[in-house]
Amino acid sequence: MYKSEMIKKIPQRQPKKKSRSNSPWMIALRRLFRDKTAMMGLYIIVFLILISVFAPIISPYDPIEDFNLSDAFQGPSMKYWFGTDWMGRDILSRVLYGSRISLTIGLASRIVTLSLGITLGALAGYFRGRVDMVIMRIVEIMDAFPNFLFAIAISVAIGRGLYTVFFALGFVGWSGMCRLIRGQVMAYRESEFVEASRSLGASNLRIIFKEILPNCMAPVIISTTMGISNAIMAEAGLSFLGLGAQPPTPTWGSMMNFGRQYIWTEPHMVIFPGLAIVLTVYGFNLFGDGLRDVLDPRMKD
Amino acid sequence: MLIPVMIGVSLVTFSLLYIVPGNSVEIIVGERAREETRENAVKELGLDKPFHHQYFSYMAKVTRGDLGKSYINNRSIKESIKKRFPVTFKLTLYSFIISVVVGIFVGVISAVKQNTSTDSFVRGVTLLGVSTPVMFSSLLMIYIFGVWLKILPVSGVGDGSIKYFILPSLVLGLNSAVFRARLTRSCMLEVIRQDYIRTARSKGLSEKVVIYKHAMRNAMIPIATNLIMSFGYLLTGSAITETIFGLPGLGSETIRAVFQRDVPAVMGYFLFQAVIFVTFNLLVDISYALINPRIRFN
Amino acid sequence: MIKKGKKIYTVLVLLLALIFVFSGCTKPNDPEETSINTTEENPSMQNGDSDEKPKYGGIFKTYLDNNFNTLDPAFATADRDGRMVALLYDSLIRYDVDGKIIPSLAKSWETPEDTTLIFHLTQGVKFHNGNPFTAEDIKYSFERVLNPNVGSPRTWVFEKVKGAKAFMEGKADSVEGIEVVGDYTVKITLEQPFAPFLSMLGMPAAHIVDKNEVEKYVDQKDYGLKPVGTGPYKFVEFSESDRFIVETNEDYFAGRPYIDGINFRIIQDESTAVAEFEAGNIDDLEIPAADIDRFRNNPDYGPYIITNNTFWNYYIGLTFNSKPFDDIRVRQAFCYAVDREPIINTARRNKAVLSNGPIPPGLDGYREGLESYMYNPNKAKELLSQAGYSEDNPCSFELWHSDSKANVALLEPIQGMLNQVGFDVKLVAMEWNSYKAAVREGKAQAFYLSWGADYPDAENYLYPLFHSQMSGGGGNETRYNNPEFDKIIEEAQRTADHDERIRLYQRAEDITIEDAARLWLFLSKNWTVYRPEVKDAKIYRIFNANKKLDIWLDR
Repeated sequence: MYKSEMIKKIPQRQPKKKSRSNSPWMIALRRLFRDKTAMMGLYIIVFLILISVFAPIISPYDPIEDFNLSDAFQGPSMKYWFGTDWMGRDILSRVLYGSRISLTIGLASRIVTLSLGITLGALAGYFRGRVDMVIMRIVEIMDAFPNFLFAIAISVAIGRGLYTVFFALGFVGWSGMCRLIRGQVMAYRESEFVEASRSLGASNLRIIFKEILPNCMAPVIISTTMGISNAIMAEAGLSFLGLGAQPPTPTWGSMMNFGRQYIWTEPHMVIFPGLAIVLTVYGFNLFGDGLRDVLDPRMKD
Repeated sequence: MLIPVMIGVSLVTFSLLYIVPGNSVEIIVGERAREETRENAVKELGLDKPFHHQYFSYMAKVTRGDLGKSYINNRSIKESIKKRFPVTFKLTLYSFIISVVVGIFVGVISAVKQNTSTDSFVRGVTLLGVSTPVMFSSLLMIYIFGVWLKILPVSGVGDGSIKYFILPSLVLGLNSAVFRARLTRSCMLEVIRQDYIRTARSKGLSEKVVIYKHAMRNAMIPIATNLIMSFGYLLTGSAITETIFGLPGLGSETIRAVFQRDVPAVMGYFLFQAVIFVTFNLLVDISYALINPRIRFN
Repeated sequence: MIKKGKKIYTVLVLLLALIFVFSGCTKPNDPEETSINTTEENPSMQNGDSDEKPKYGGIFKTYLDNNFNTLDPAFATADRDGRMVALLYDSLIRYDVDGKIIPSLAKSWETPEDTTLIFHLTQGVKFHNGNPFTAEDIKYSFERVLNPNVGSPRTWVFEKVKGAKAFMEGKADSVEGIEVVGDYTVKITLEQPFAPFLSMLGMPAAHIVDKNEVEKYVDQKDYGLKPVGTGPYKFVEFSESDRFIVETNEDYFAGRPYIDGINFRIIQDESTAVAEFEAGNIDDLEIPAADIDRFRNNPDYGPYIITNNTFWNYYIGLTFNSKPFDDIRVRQAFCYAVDREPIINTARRNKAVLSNGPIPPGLDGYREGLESYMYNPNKAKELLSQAGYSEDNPCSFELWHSDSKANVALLEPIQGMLNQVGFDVKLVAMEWNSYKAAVREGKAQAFYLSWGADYPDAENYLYPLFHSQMSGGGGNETRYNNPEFDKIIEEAQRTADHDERIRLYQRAEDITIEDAARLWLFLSKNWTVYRPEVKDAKIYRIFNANKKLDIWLDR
């Protein structure tokens, strides 16, 4: 949620024409593969994606339908590796399935953020003048809301549920993205290659999407990676207040939320989903941190 | 900037509250109330009026400096802010101190030892810290210090002394320390690469003097301006921590108000927090101008 | 953008504004200051349940799970508010531990006719401000609740008093049925016989206020946090979301309480309250379901746990006039499909007793062996298929509930069981206000709620919940409508003979169970643990009956 800190560090890449293997992307990629922390993060992310894709195959039980009241409140055992919850469901299976929700929320809320942020940011930066003024006023208003409290207000207003979370978290974060894109677009709109394609008669839309935006991608990628981990944390926070995806959907946030009442006696109900969140967020943070080092030219040795 | 932002914030909040089904009347009248009683309560709160009417009559009051009274408990919103803000402020201040001390220390170390195992270890640990959800770390802290060791109170503010704030400040402060560390690291790295540092080194000054006297002083400028803004963010971002630790601050109260559809309370708190935000934003701009005279407002 | 100079100016103005707002801040009081340790012993006093002699003195440190909204009896509708009102004020009668009616401000009463009650008041009672309490205060307080200008939500408590309607509509200056006979005698006349009326006089709304205090305020709602009553405790301080402090009323007419005062902390988070109790910072704790076994098995806590059944009866309501529950077969299938016992034993471990009907044990009319809808999934399937549902065409509906962890823990297994027999249930959590409003408007197909006794009479569990006139706001959210039931319960209300009335209650209860308008789940059970120094603490069955008169501290 520390938008300002994220934005102020955004690198200003010099636009270069693409050439095969020496394009800045390839260089960055090679540097990325050498960065141990980033690769560690990447491994975690890939691992999580695999888990969420193959959850139905690797889960020993069904996360929703396999409940058995006589097996409730069991600690970790051979039968239930992570123990069971208050209605005798296997926590391991629920944690595995939960990765689907967390990753989806991370991505989906970023899609909302990106589409709103890029569209409005590009419009503001490219057309400037009155368009810019109006959009930036809206951005200022959005910024003046405390993010998390605003997400709560949105969730309460439009009703609980998974889609609400996508929207609330995406909607709360777009103003930062918008500022970011606007700054980049403003920097590039007067540059030679934009002038060149403008003189060739390219339409405004074409210039924005084909010429300018591809050159702004580095900071967008960094901020999106970090944004995913923020969104996953925020989902846990909303679920903690009962505003997330509704039961019986297995989500880590809600598992922690409902397990919390048993924390003194059955801590496993909180610890495993809690650790899952930590691992996921950690993965994205490591990767984002590495990406930042790689894509930020000021960091070059 | 203040006026349009306030109008925007109030309008957005008001609309959000307006579309919510149900209203505070249920809490006020309770079970088995007569239909007339309920209608009277609705009328008394002005909830039967159209949207623009409700909004303008509210804003008219605000411009007169009257934030109104809570629908739920009839208490003055202004009084409530006056009482709760100091709690949030204290919490913020303490977490801020922790965050600054830890963050800058860690940042400097990892910059000085860039690309060594110390650097990656410190980065790894701080990142792990920030990857832990606040409620997870809060519960751990409560359990360890409050129940197990029994050395610290786990909720409330008691007489307002500092011991009540230690745990929540630790949770909040460490969480934001990592951002500080990250920024410190990159600012330090940038400064270390500058010519005058090279000069200082070539003059034969000890590494310690170079780092702590020359490099840090210059790296502090962007860090300091950033501090102002993050203080503002901390000030409005402590809701969950306040809720778990039972601190009667503004954040937990805002959550209460949102859940109970306490329109004047939600409006009052959001407007107040917007004022804080705008204030800190301006402070940042000014500090830029003061620190770096080359930057002028266009 | 603005020029720099202007910007600085703006900031200065904003800072000044902030400083102005906070210039009135006060330092929080030190709670120690209020504790006066007068440990005098009085051997002549009653002994209570323990063998030791009660000691005077000490501050009882406890907590509230949330802020109360008001301490004004006329507006105290929430359970928490009602409990606080009982500490600060008195009513004509009060309830003992089991919910039986005992004298309070009225030392005795007589019923010369079915419609008339004459109360003889205790003499020498004083309000906290020193004003004497007389019969006029009764009339004022009761009329205040009915007064349309005051806007109390509890008018229904006195609605059946003669002349109440005329007074509420502004046709009369006072209520005909409330007569001040002498300084210490009041006569109340009802429109028609209404047996539960006496027990309703212990409700929060029937607590007595001092006219001189209330009328100090132009807007009577401002009286809410300046309570002045006759009760055993006096208001000292309330700091929202932080603490509420009361001190003993030395001149309390029934003898001052043993303790010198009560410090309530406001602790909203259950786990935090548990931690505070274990850290020794509060003297009692209502143990959350999840922790009961742990506390019971702990020798430091086990012996100091007190448990009691409450009058809170939990149910799932099935809305009568909308699909799919307009069909009695579907309602019955619903009831047969839920195996309540194991669910209660896990989700509400130790905190619940199976409930089979509306009338709870402890009220006259309760039947020990009553059984309703024991688990029978095959019968449920059969009924569903008779009603035209099948595997490809499951009976889908939404089950609404107000948001809480405990509710979900209970409803998720119920959802699972219903889905096994051919329902397709979606759980919908809503915030309390929207939930209550939606349920009241009849928008919910099925909903989870509870009903607690406002006053200890089985009528309170039948008339409001099932009478067709009570549809919506009254308590009959299910829109249950059965003329036969209506007739029987109305007859019961008019019946003065106790045994006959009880028989009518039971007949009415049978009808509602047969129609399966609600699936009764459980009655909640309260577990409270105290510090060892706390003696003679009791759990009262009626929510506002505990005036903290018997509790004492050995420290």
